[in-house]
Amino acid sequence: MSGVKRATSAKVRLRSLLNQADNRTCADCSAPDPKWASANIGVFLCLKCCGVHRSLGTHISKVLSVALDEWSDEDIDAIIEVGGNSAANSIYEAHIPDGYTKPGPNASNDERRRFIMAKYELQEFMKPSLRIKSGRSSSSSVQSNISGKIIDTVLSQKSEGMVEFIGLLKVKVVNGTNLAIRDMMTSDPYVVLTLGQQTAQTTVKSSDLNPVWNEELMLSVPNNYRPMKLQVYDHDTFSADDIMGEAEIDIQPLITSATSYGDPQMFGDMQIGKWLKSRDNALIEDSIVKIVDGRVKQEVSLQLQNVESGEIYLEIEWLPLDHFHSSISAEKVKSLFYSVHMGIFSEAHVCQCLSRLATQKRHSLVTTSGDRQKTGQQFVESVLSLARGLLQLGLRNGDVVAISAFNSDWYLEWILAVAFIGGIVAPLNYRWSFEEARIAMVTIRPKLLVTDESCYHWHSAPQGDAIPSLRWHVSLSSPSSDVVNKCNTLTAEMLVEQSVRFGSMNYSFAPEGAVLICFTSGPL
Amino acid sequence: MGIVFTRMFSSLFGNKEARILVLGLDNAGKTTILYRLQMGEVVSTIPTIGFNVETVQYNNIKFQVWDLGGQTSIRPYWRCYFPNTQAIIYVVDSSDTDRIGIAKEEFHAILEEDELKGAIALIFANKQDLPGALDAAAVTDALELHKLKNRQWAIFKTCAVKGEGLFEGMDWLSNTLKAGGG
Repeated sequence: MSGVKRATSAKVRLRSLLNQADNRTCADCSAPDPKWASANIGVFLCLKCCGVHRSLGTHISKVLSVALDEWSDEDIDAIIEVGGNSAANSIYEAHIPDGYTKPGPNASNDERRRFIMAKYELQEFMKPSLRIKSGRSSSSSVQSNISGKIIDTVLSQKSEGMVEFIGLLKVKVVNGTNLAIRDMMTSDPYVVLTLGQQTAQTTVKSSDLNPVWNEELMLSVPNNYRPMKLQVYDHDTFSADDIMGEAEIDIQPLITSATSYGDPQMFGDMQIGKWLKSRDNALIEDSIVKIVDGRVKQEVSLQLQNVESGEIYLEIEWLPLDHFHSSISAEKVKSLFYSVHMGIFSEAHVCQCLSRLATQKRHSLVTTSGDRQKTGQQFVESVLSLARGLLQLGLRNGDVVAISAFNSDWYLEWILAVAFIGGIVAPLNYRWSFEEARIAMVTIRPKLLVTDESCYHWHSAPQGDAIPSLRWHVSLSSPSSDVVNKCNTLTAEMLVEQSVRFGSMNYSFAPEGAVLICFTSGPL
Repeated sequence: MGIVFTRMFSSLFGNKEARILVLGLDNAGKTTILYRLQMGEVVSTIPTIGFNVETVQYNNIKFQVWDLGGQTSIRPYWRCYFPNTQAIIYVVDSSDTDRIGIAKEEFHAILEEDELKGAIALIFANKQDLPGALDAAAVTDALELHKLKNRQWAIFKTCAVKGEGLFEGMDWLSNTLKAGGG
């Protein structure tokens, strides 16, 4: 238990160091969002500079991935002691000559290599009294690298050749029923799974048309994965094995819903996605993706294809490669973001909600906010005219709308209107400082920011380039014309007034059914 | 007997490729070795967060060489590639003495896998050019290679960036496979 605690706190310490402002860019070339580090030198690095560091040898630079490697306590203590990129650079670049330009994010590999070797191996920019000669003399090390004939052009070719992993599938082949007969009276079935260039197979169950395997097979998933193929064969000792049917398994619903939820351990047991039965697939029934005990699982029942009969039952678990998503946190925000798939819980969710309000609650009071009161019909009309206004403004399916306001009927109308046109709502906490909200917005890239009087002081800040994705800024309530003019802000009223009625308006789902991005404050 | 042997031989190496996995801790030099074998050049590499696969023709054998990433959290993926593997090339950074214990544990763990029961093992004691690099005998001890049972293995000291030792290792590999190992 204490071991687990220590490991966690070590990771948290490392992440908070990584979140320090000077560590958000590579120490050597200033590329953003470094995910690698030299534990002994104490700097955070981009992938390309990390490649050069690795080639120097561990006696000069001991490279670790922040996400993919386990860090020992000593490694973490060492890097924390250095204090990050600024502190390290103040030593390694103390005497950098005037007019010397460091390589930038797009520097060639040669430029990068020359600079990194000069900086760390030869320690040319250090205060002379601090230079510690490494084992080799500097001249011989340069020579050995030249004789290595390192060619730059191949890097790009090769990195395209690399296939990246995104996770593992653990497939439990549970059982089969009613399988086809391939020998005299029965068959000796086994299951083969194929994903990309990998195959995995179960044991052979002899003379069994309703075999129970309960065997777990592991398959790695590359970033450009395709459907997994399942085949059942009859094992024959003296001739080639006969096929007993096949099926394709679409693993995308599993992986996309798991990815959008992030860490499943943060959630209780719940349904998060679905692979729908259709005429074009082999499903016997809809296959539900759910979180069970902090793991993402999916049960799949398949009708075997191209065969007389047979069903196969699987349980699939998704184990993502723990790619480190840099937490967006300034120390206080510590937010975690995930999107909620309301669409999956009940299809056409927003429409059901609105149509019930507009029919069953047509004349009853549904919202009261101060002296503003609305019936179901009025409320739904407000939502739809706002939705129209947003469409005419140019907001599109999948666009993110950040909203920060006190709770009110207007707030509710905005959430429903954005969802109705297939946008994604990201409520921000109005108690946040602008800097905290800015970090959140840089992460979720909203097109539109909506605020009310709780956050008028945010208005001027996002002008400029603070949040590059922002195109519009709308005030929820109607502030004094002074604020509107000074801050170049639209009001909700302007949107609704300018919205012209046109034909029937259909709701739309955002890609993957996401409607909301939540930020939860609390420990990571 | 002679005929049977020939048939087995040709079925293994007539048209088929020998499937080779290149494994080892991160930054041992696996990708550099793969491309040194395939193109005869040193490439600048970035960490492999997945795999590279290339075909290498050597001594009349076509090797399908899989270079799998070595970061801690990618090592569990190695076993997805174990089936139908004739040989493992295990690459060790001979100068990274801090982690040679971990290299040993990972090596013995993979050789315990059933699916690699018949695979032969070629160990490259790489980065011989770096200061403090252990020689082949010291790496043999550190990896406890003498404890291996029922396994054909050999160790060569290499310097992938200079191309030293790699082809001696490939000679052993192709001869052992032709003689029916793996």
